Amino acid sequence: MTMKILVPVKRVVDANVRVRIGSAGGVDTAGLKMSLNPFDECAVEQALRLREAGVASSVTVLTCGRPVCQDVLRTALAMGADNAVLIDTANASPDSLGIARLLHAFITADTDTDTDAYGLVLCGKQAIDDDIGGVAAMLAALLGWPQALNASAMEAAARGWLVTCGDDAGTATWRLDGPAVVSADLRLAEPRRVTLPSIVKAKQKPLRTVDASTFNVPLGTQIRIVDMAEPPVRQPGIKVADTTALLGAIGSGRLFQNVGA
Amino acid sequence: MSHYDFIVIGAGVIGASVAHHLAALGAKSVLVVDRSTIGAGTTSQSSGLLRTHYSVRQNVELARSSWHAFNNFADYVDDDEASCGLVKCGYMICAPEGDKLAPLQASLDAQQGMGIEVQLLSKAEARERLPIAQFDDAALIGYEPEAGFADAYLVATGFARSARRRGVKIMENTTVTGLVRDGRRVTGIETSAGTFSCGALISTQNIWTPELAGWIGVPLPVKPERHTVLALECDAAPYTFNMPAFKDLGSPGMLYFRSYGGSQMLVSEGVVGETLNAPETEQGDISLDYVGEVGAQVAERFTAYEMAGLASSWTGVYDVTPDWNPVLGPVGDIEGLTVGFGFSGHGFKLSPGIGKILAQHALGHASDVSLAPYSLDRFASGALLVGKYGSGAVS
Amino acid sequence: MTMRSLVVGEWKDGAIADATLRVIRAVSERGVPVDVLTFSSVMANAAVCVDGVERVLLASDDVPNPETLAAFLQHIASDYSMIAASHRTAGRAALPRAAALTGNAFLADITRVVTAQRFVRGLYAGSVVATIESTGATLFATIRTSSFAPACATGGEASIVALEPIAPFTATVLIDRQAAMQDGSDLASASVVVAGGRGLASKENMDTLGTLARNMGAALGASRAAVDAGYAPNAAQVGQTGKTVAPDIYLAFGISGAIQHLAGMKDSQIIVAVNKDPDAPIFSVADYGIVGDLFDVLGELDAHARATGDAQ
Repeated sequence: MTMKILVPVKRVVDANVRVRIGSAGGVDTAGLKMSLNPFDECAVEQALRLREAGVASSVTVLTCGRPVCQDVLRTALAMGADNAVLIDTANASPDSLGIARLLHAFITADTDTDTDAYGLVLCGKQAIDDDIGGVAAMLAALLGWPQALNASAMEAAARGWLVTCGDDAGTATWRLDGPAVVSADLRLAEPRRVTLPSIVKAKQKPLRTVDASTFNVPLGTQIRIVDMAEPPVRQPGIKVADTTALLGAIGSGRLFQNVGA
Repeated sequence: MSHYDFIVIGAGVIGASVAHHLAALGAKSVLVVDRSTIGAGTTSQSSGLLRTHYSVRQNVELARSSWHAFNNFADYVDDDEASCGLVKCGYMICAPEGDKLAPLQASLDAQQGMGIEVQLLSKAEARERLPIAQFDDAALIGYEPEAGFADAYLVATGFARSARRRGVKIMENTTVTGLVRDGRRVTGIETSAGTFSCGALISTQNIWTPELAGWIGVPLPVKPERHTVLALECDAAPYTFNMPAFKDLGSPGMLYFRSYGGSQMLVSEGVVGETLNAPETEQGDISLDYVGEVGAQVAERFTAYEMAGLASSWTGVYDVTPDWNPVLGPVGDIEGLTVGFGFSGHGFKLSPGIGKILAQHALGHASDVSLAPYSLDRFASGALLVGKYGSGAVS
Repeated sequence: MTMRSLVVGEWKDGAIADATLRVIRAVSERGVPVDVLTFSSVMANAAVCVDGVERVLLASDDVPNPETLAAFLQHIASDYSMIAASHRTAGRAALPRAAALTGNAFLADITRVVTAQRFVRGLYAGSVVATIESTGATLFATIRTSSFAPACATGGEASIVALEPIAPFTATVLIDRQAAMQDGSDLASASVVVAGGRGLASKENMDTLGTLARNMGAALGASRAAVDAGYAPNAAQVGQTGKTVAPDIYLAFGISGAIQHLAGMKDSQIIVAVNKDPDAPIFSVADYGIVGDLFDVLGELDAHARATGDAQ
């Protein structure tokens, strides 16, 4: 029995772009280069590998935002995803809970007894713009599913999934029974390159838009940014004469923290 | 207030070259200011191609003297450790039957007439040099062995280091806010670090030249044009360092190619790019559709690249003038000011030559190549320096 | 309207975790009573002594999995306006889940407490500092413990409240734990990175740098110039069009410091630069700089690394 994989993705300011605080006190992303969130890219890759291994029948990528977000869906389709969905949030700016609620509503509505159900939601562990990393666990809560965050390896198990996750002391392997939500670390899967033929093929794949309002989910936010500021400037450093002086300044314990590990 | 005989605004590869040459030619009191760090503007985004092929004769001469500098960089700046990162892989150019054929023939003839080694290759010979490409439709294939690519940022910092060694002061992270005038004469600059007076000012401000235009109240025709560069990976047909850089006049986008990292292919279009609303060097969006279009053109010439993967991509910005050639020399009747801007995508390859003639001009010496054809006046008088291939970066 | 704070406590090496003491201090700055949630009587007995704690909640005697912990928090959330934990694995897994179960918001990695409802955290990998106002009933949040001093572990006199056990979440089962194996080869997540630039001058020299990296348990990176020259593979490139890294230590050998490279490593905790050019831009961001022959430093560091390895 196979199942479908859902990969929620986010369109974010490209990792290499220096964001600046504008005169209005916020970050204006208009004109900045935007990209598929790097952790989500790894999630797409892992989902594709599971499909290629015969574990899943299809990979659906989904994003919540404005129509301009379709470009990251196209990138995922060019990587090999089967179909894409844009949930158009119009003027709303939902927080993590709002996004999780939308995803939950979509999954519930999309579950069709004639076709495969979603057996896995695989997303990036955090978005590189807000760095909150809350959606995966929140969605798992709403679905009542087991969760595994910061995954660095995973495989299908008899009744669910075996996932190895990075944690404070190293890694831990968890068995998740039944459908689950897993969030990806960069180590989970190195994303494949988009190829020229796949760019052409992607144009034929389904990409549909759904209004967020059809899900009847509150899209407000309970956290409000009231101020943004630049961080303190990195203080200039010092010159040291030689290696011995360097070891004295940093401490060989810190410099060789990984030796013999 | 500090006084310098010469002040240069802009420490990109052109400004750094000017500074080196001023000092090398004997100037003792030189200041360079840059709003950021050396080479941090459009210089660092250069694809670094070096060739002497041009259809505008004056450019051939500048390119030739510049090539000599790149080919002997350590000697040129008198620094054993200096390197420009040169990969001397040669430069190949081809055209099919059509409107690019006659201009290509004329350019190759002109180069040969100026004593530059240019070989005319058969399709088989071309394939030997660049086995990953096919030349079925090529009507004319030129190859210059004394060419390749180098690292623009290294060159900028190399020139800057040489300049500093010769006593030039370089102030980074210093923004120029205006000029000091005495009638029609420029006598100094106002900056975020104070006011400095000068005997002569040289502006090499690239896409920020419009700021200068504002200070002097004279329009200077230059606009920032963004260009996309792709790095493609094809395991079946790696683009290695011994394969020549290549210009395909048969492709709709007038693509140029070179090795990237010894195995990937760097490719970019040589036609008009996207004009920006304001000068900035931040990365722009690159759509998958664009990648697909360029990829299709690449695959025409490099058939294995039909299956290539996109390894990375980035954008760079050119300072473009109406005829895709630089503006060099004085501005109207303003005394004490020399400009060098509008390199339109071939500043780096001409930077040693340009730096020298701008320095010569500022010092009141005769310049190796006349600045007259590059005068700002040409836009009004109609004596444009249009390359025979039309608009685009091969002039 | 209840305005208490709850800290989800951690136990480490036979004592209240230092991280927990710092979270207690952090939420104390809200100016409202603080409770601590514990999972063993030993831990509860230690927690009652912490200065600033009013009540210690004692849940089951086993540390629950994140799903079970989230269910616990769901049961008691209505008593609290804020539920906090350190920004470590357990809190990052359980708190957002509990937030969703109770219809509340979640914030990660708070670095400052401004008022009972206002907090500071970073956006865009810390390049923007944002002040956030929380408007919901209960805010769930993880705390960056390095931004706060620890509360005093003695002097407190809290009372212990036993909680009713709840049914555990059984669909998630811990199979195995593996201790941290830092072979460092993963550039993006390595805590120590050794990077080489054009100054290495050859692939062979870059390979020597690679040996140093291996001996130090570090990942090997390279500047675009070095990759362009063929000294290092594209996958090792750090910077714009390459990888962005934020290790504890970044050692830059023969790298001049072009803006595109700096963009990829500027968030490193400590940057060390070795370059023979005193004007190299890298020195303006380096915490420690050595102007000199990188091969000398490379050899000396390698000798120290091997000696350290041998001694272990």
